[in-house]
Amino acid sequence: MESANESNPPQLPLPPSPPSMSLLKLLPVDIVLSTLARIPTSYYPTLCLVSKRFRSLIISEELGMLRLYLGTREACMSAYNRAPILVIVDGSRQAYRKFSFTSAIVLFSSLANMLYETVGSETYEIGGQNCWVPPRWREPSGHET
Amino acid sequence: MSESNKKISLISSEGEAFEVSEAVAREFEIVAHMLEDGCSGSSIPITTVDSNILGKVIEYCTKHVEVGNVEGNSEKAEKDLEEFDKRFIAVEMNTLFSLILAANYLNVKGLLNIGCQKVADTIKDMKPEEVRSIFNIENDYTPAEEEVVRKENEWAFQP
Repeated sequence: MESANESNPPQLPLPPSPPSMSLLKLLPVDIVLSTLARIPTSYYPTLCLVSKRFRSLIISEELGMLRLYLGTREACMSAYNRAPILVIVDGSRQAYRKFSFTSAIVLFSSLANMLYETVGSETYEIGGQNCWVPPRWREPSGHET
Repeated sequence: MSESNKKISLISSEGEAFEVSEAVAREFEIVAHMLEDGCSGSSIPITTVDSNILGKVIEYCTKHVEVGNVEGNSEKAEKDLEEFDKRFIAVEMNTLFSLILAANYLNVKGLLNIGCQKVADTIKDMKPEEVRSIFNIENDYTPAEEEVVRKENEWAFQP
């Protein structure tokens, strides 16, 4: 089977022929994810408005994993009071953990150079105001305006 | 050392041959794998990449191989390479996407990385409608749905 036919140069496998319509369909999904993973999460809310597909990629677990892999995960955390525990997520939504209030404060204090503030009695945000948390982890009833 | 002098022809989709050193051809991981698999052909058709883009990818790989071969003075070389990458990737959007697709297909990781980074830097400050036009996608939100997503996000930004 290996006998090389000299008149036939080796052929590379053909990729699927590109459709001409949407670049989002044309680009392999991992390239789109790889691009999104290089954008700070503070831009994600605006990018979510591009299209449903775009939004689904932005809130996907894959993107969080990729940020971890690329090292673009941000030191940015939010904590939500679900007394008596806090639910903590970071900027890439990967670390999703529950802590008692006391241990959470200890944890936050131990994170060097990280600011934290208390907003009202319901939401605690650590790492600045640009921390974006996907809707499914928010407490819609818990926030005040 | 004769191995490094070996030339390989990469054939574009238009049939144009680009003669490169084996070291440069090996920067295309897909080609490197073929060579390692014992493929001895000296001409390799890259049927999905046109001459313009293939020429550019070869230019990128040639530069990176050259710099990689220089010994010493690595800091300066690295800086030069960074400058080169920056200039190289400053192309209009269609070319950029073609380069990314080619880099992905040929598996040239460095080029793929700077390509994705360039797109990221370009779209991050854009309005949703500008991103749509770049990616040629339609807004599939109804006004009501769009409002819901907007609301979600407002909440995320509350100080």
